[in-house]
Amino acid sequence: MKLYRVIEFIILFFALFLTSCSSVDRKQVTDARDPFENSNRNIYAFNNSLDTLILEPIALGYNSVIPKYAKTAISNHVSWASLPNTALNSGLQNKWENAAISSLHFSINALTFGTMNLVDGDKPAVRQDFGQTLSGFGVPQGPYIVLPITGGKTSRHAFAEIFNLILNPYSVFQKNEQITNVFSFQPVLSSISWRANNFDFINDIKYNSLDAYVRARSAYYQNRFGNMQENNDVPSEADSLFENLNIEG
Amino acid sequence: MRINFKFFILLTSTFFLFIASLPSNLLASKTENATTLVNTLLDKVNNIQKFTDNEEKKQAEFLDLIQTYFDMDVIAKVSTGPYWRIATLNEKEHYTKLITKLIADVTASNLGNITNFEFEFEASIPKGEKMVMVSGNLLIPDQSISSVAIKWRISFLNEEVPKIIDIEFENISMLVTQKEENIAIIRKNGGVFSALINEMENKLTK
Repeated sequence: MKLYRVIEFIILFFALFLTSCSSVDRKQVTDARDPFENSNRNIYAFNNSLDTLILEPIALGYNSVIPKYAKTAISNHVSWASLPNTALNSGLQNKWENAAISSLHFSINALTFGTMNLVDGDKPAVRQDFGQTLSGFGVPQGPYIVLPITGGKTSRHAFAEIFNLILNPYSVFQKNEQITNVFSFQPVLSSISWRANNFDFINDIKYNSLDAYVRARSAYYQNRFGNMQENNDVPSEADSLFENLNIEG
Repeated sequence: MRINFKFFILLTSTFFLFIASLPSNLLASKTENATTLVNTLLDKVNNIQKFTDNEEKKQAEFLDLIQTYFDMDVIAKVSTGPYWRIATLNEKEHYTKLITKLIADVTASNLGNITNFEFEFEASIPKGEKMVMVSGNLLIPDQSISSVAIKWRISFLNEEVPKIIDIEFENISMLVTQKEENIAIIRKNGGVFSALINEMENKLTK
């Protein structure tokens, strides 16, 4: 059984197990978008322990041992691998310029397996995923759910991740065993690179917050909102916060 | 008589031109003042990072900086949402002190040994009459992420003394995040405001 199949199985098993254990106590729910808060908190605690035991020390080592050019190459490769996904989803959202840019960048950078950005300085492709496409189709975002290993997302975004995984360029080469092995390793590499790049930010959530779970959820929603181009003209949570600011009260 | 009429026309048009240009001038000065405020603050932060070795002294200097450049009254009020109204005057004052200290300590701890960051200015845009948003990138060489998109919300509640009321990193508002955390803690404790104060005191003593 391939590594990614094992990971998929573990995620599914834990999601079903922990969701079945959930008892929804309305008094304990702190946000209307998060009706499964109790079980979500359990999975978050599990993910946090995994992070502390495995990912955080690896990311710390990665940041101190790997030279900057190698880290840049790995980050470039991870971004490059998401370009087919961006191209397809841009097309589905009628963003043809972005679809063309991402296709072009993917083809050119394929010469270096995505490790070097040969089109540096050119207009960058804006990352688009299937969750954004579903949003464009009017699919509601659904409740917030925390999945083992992959973390917290809206259920629409979590569902879309399966589609995003299938669209990984390596999946085209399924018959080539070596490339399939690279494909299996890629989510691991991507996770390490992401954790290392966001090392201080994640640690700030883990160690400096009053309620790490709520801070992580809030950061996810705000970041996700900001990354959706169609929200450019919609006021953000922060905008709404100051809209009716009563100075005197 | 004819000369007087010409003079009258000239005077009136000058007056109207002056009036018409007034609001845009005021807005321009607000956006400039907001940018200056951000740059001055960052210079001071850089100086603290460069010249202060002692951790406690650093925290004290950051506390002073936050009290000077941030509108802690607005931040305290907004960060507790509807629960600000149920808090007693003592609780409000105590919470304002705690949140100021918490921000200072977290800033000192998060900045660590970073000394040479720069602010790459992008835009300074008015948001209504009493707020300006200054946006740009924080450039931090030798870090895992060398550039972070940052936005500063500057309040002009007092026209003479602009103050910072929120900072956004990569679309994540510090104030919104703090508000959601605070509200969650108060709700989990049956709507009791003092529970938040206890939680913050515990955090600060750790």
